Amino acid sequence: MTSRAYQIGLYSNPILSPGWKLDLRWLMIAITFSGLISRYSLADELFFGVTDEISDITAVSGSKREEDLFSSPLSISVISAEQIKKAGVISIPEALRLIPGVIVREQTNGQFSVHIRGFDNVPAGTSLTGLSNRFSLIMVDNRKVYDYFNGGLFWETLPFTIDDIERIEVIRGAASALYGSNAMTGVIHFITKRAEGDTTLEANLMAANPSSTSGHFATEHSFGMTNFRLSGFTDQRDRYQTTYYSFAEDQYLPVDQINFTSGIGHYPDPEKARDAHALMLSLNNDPTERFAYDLSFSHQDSRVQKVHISSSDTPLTINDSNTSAVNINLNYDAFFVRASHLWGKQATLDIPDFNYDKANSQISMEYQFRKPQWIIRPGISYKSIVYDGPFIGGERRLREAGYLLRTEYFPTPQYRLVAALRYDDYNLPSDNYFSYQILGTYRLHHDTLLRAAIETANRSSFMINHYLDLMFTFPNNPSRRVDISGDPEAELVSITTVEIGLRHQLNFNNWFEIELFRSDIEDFTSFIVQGTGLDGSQLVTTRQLEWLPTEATQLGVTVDWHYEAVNWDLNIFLTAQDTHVDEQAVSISKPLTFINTDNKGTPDYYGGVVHNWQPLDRWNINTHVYYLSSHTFALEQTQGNAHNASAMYANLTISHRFNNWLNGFVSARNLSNQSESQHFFTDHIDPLYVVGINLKWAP
Amino acid sequence: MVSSKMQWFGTLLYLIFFLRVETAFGCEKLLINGGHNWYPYFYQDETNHKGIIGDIVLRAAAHTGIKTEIAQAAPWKRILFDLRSGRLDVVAGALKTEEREKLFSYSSPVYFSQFRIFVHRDHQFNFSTLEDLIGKHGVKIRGLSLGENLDQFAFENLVIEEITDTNSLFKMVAAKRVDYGIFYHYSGLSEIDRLNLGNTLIPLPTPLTQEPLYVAFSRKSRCLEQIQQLSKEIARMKENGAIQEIADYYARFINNRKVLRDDD
Repeated sequence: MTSRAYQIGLYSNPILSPGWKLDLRWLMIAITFSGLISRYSLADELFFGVTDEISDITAVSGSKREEDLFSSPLSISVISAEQIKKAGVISIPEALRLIPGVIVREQTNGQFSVHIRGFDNVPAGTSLTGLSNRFSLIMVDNRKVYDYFNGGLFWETLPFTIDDIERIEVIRGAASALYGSNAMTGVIHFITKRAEGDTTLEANLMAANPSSTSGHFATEHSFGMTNFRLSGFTDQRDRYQTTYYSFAEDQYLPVDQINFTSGIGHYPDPEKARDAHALMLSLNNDPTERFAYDLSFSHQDSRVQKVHISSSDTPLTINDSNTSAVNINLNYDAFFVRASHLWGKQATLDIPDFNYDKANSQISMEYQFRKPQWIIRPGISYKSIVYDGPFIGGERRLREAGYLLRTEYFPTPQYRLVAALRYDDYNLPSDNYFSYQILGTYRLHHDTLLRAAIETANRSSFMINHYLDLMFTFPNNPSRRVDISGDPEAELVSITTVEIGLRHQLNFNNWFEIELFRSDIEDFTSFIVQGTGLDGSQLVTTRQLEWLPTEATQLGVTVDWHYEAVNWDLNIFLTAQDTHVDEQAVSISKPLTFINTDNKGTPDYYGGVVHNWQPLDRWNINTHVYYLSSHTFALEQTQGNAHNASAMYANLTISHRFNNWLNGFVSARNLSNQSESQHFFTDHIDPLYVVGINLKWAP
Repeated sequence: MVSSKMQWFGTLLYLIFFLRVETAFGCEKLLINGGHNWYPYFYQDETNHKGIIGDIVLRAAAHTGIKTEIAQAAPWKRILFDLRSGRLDVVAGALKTEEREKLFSYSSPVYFSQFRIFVHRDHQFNFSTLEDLIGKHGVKIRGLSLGENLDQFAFENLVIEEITDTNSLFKMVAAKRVDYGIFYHYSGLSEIDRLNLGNTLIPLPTPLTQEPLYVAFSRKSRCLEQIQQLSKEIARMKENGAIQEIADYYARFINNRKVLRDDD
């Protein structure tokens, strides 16, 4: 390049010395791209004000009413059932890899951990449970499925599969003012398929290597005005390996070669990653009726191996869950009522203290007043969570009462101001928390929306944090005991997020979104080692939940670009972030000392590329690449650190529609970065080769 | 060497993206499209009739000996996009806006579209001015513009929900979930028939608004000469009453259906 450029005199001016060559090349590229953008940034006034809105995608989670995605005041993404199927996704959390701002790591075959925007491993130096996401709220058809054992979600307990999902909406940013506690870094809302009155019968079968099989069925029918849908599945997945990582030996070993000091050593079926079954029955009538309802009953039974209860020996534990739930959504005019009740049992194998019954009852009522230029939505909610198990000394209850007022004001057709205020009253801690969302959007042009937001949220109480009262004697060494206790009055973690965003439509088939965000989290708690002493013949280590002065600040940007052509489409998204932690405890043993540091548990960069191509009618080829830059988890001393190098996980899926009732697909997953752990010394994730068929009969 | 290839590659990219490569293909036939199922202005079915404006264009083309082809049904945005780029020659039925005038040429007005207020038969009200809608709850299709002035009035004074599909629009009115729905007059009647809501819903007699409809032509078409001929023929058809004849045919058809419905 240099020689030719020099020959044509480009660098004849001494100012343009060879040192500038690289800059000039970048300048030329920049000019080229700016030209491309200017050429394709035609202001499509001609599309405005006809019958088509700029974006045809709608979402309900951002404002609790249907609105086009382009106008939403929040950072929100939607992914449809069709997009999920095209990508050959076979696990629900894996579908979230198609959405910007979500970090998804596979632990074992079919078991994942999911974070929105990160804050992974904050604060560092805690136990394994500190790696689970306890900052994001998960909902299914408006029912909160967040787990109150120790926060987060037991993904295996979702009573449906990919084939039951209509769409997934993900809110990034604090949303407690809309949905209550735990919506700190965002909300993942699953909207399941709703019977529409036609009679259909559907079967979806999948087989994969390593040995995985999944069968799903669904049928829909209507009786008079009532539509019903019955669906169910069975899902069996083998692990990619049969060995477990031993913290003591610093290597993967067969289970019989690991010295289980904590007693958590019962792994009756090391090959099996997941064994889950579920059934769901839903009834509804037409949603446009004056009185509309949705009623569902679901039951699931699952056993999985995943990172759950902290063990000092190996990361994985076997967890059983058997739960049922009913959910009712009622709507009369502008009055909305939702009630749900979940009950069942959960257990971590071989730890009797963590065998427990649980019940979760929720009710909420909201009314939407519409006036010209105003929408006002007051509401109340109540939640009662009851757990009964040895780890909390019997039956314990958490209660939350919430009061919501959300107001939207449109001063002009271009401006929109939203203020959502929420006041939550908890039984534990015996305190009240206030959260808010102040949002503003400005439609600069018909194809350009600017938005700004300041939002707060807080986490709820958990059984572990607030009620834990455990004296754990090591089965293999009865002379050792750990006493762990929670703190009923422990403060709740809270977050404040500030965002500015831009959505711009370059053309009707080409749009992008940029969001800049800053989040501050404080009021962390952790189980601090108070000391070790003798109690009779036992050496007892005491751990007590304590408030920490730790504060974490995250600065980040997410870019999301969509392009659609006649027979192909492309979506590229990337998040760059930096998280700084002040007052990070050097260790969780007293006396505590603190340092200021950067959080390395969240990748600095993460994102993906999704490309669909229909080379021929009825054929679709999907290429999906998901990227996480290098990151390091740091846990307490007995477990140490795990460095995960930058990784790009590539999937290729080819699907074919044979006729109106039969579709088939083959998919190769994890084609790159093979055989590496994506989490904390969990399974090496091997390539997975999948074949599946979808049968649908609709007379 | 590599850099040389890169430069050639860059130049080629530049040519592809920046320079209009005028192809010298001749004009074989006019490619025509219109709003998807925009009854009675343009629609596609197995019959020879393509709606009022579709028939006007086809008859004008036949009179002048221009070959035509009806393009595949497509979303409205794509139709306008294709018209702008010259991939489509004619759109049979479009509103005129300042922006569109910069990009397309237009025939003289050939017909008009009316927006009507659709209500439940048991829930009718007097509607003669926009003020009559104040205090009532309406619904319309998301993004549907009623014209600048009416849009502004609606924004300041009315409560109108926006939804994505016509099914929901008419069902909501039928269920009395809203007081009224706004939609094109004849397309609305057709949708009501399709949904078997003819005994439940009716349009109020006074139109909400009325807009002239035009035939829009691509300025980048390879068939500019033929388009000119077509435009002249459409003007001639307007003068000699041929357009009115086509409109009358559809009016009779719609009225017959209406009479049949009333008899039911």
